Amino acid sequence: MAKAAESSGDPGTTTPRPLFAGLSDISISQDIPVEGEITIPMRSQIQEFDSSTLNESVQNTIMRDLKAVGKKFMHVLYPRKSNTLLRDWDLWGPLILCVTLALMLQRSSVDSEKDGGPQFAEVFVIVWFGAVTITLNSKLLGGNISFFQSLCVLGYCILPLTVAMLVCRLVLLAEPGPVNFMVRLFVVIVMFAWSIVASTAFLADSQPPNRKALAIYPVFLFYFVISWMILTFTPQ
Amino acid sequence: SRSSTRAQAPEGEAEHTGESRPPWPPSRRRPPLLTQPRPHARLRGRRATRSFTVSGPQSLQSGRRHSLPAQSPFSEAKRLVCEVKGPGASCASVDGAGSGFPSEQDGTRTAAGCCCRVGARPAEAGRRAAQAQRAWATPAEGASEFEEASSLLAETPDAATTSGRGQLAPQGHVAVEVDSGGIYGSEEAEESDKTALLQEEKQQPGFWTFSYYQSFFDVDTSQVLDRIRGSLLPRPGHNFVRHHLRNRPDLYGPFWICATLAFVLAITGNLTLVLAQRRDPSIHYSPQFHKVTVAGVTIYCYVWLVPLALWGFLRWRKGVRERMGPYTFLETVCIYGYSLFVFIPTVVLWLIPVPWLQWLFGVMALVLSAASLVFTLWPVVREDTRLVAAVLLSTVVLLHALLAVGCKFYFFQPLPLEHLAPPAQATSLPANLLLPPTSRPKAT
Repeated sequence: MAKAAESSGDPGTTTPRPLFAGLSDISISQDIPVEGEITIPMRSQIQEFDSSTLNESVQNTIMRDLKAVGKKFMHVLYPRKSNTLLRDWDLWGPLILCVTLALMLQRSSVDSEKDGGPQFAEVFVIVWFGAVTITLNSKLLGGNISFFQSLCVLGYCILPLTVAMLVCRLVLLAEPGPVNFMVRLFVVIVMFAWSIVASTAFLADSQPPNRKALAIYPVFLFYFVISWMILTFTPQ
Repeated sequence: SRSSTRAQAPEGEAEHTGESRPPWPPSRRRPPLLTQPRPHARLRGRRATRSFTVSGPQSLQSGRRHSLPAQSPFSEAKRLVCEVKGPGASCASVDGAGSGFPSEQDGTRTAAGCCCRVGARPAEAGRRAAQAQRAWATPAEGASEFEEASSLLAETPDAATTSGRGQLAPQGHVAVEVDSGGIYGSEEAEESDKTALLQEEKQQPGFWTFSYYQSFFDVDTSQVLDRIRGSLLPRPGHNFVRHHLRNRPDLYGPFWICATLAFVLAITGNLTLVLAQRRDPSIHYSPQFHKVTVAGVTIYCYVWLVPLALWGFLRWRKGVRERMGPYTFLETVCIYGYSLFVFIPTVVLWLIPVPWLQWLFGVMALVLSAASLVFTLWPVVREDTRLVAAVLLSTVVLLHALLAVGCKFYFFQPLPLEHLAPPAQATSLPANLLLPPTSRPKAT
């Protein structure tokens, strides 16, 4: 402020900015006390934030994280062009989803080892290493998304497929038959398309324009494999 | 007048070569390594010598001779030995070990002269040579300034050194492209751009940096689709590496085609089991998830280890070949990776449970895929002895066939086998019981 006063008080110059026009009538013969605090509102807020989380109750902490995860779930279920998933990335949501999916998909231990469905570890490995591979691929192709942002988006977009898994599990409680299969197929296809749309909405912008298809195809393959695992799940 | 400019080191270039030039004609020893091939820069301000000509009357066409001035250096008969560089460069009519003058293909008619390719590193040689040649290939108004041209003849043998590719071929006389001197004076900016470009390309980051690997993924969607199309439709004269890869091999295609093929194999194998169970409820269905692992490991080993062996073998036989250097490892991996693409729709079509149709599709896919491999490898092996070429190509085709047949049998087991398996277990038990009673009468 003092600087502005000095520059505007110079009689020779004409201040181009009307912003300081009101200061032109300040006389510079007096001493203008230049005192005070320069406060940056953001910093003070953050300082308050940091110092207070140590003292809050555990429930507050957990609820805050859960709310953040839930908010991102909503963003995935209703995909719009927003930056929430990218800006405030976290890996809690992907972890919860992956563990849920793997728990539901694993075969029971009495099943034969050779011919069964995937084990818990296999699903886990496919999801996480698949996400890492896709992220590396998009970075190698020249995308400007960070590593963990991409992991976050890919993990969160498994949510529709987890919902499909729950629905399939419920449908399988009914009697088996072609109708059963058709319903499951329909649900899985719809959720697969939803996952693709959601992840494309978040990831496509970070790729160079002539390589978008190259970066999106592995995402398609990834969700296709997960959908296949969900569809072929048979409870023993 | 045998004043050979080759004997005089051109100014500014001595520090590049670092050793004295041999007198003309150059000896058979290996020319010094060149870091920055800039043929145009060297031609600035060169004065003429009359001591070079292109070799042999057979390489001069009558039409060209008219354009030569009377006192052109080409009037003297002198054998010119240059080095053929740059696998990707193609100077008009000169290919391979060629001598001869560029013809009027592609509108890149030049003045009289041969075509010498400039290249440093194998991977970039084609690009650089193409750039260098592009700069040269302007239509010749008249062969006015052959001074520069003749110094080009002098310079390019040294300029045309590569690092890894090779020795100066003993018999190799190559054409050195001589162009009208007009272009050298006028296009300074363009040339400096080119030299800057050549310098940029020279810098390759180390293998521990991320950008090193990024250079292998430097493809666009249209390029990948074009390469896939090129592998699907092999043509005899149409070299996949030259025309489609253009010395820019990528890792995106092989990696994701293999991943897709592995998953598609496992999924369609499982689907056939589902469809078989629908028809015959006695078959026990299971997701068979372990097949994904088997498929993935098989396909990736095939696409990485077989090209490694092939590349090693071709490099070992490199000495026999004159014309064309072997492909780099990445180009070989690319060839194999893209050639597997045709199996993806084939595997999906194998869902149709008609056996003879499955075999028909399999054979068609194998023929297409092996043809693309053979047509790409043929220019490299054809200079080898017949025996080696035949053995190599038949091994390649055999391995490919083995992969196809193995996949068919492992992932798409024919129905009767699956059906007979439980009864076979049931019958083996009574057979064991039967055997001791029958042996007893024999014993007694």
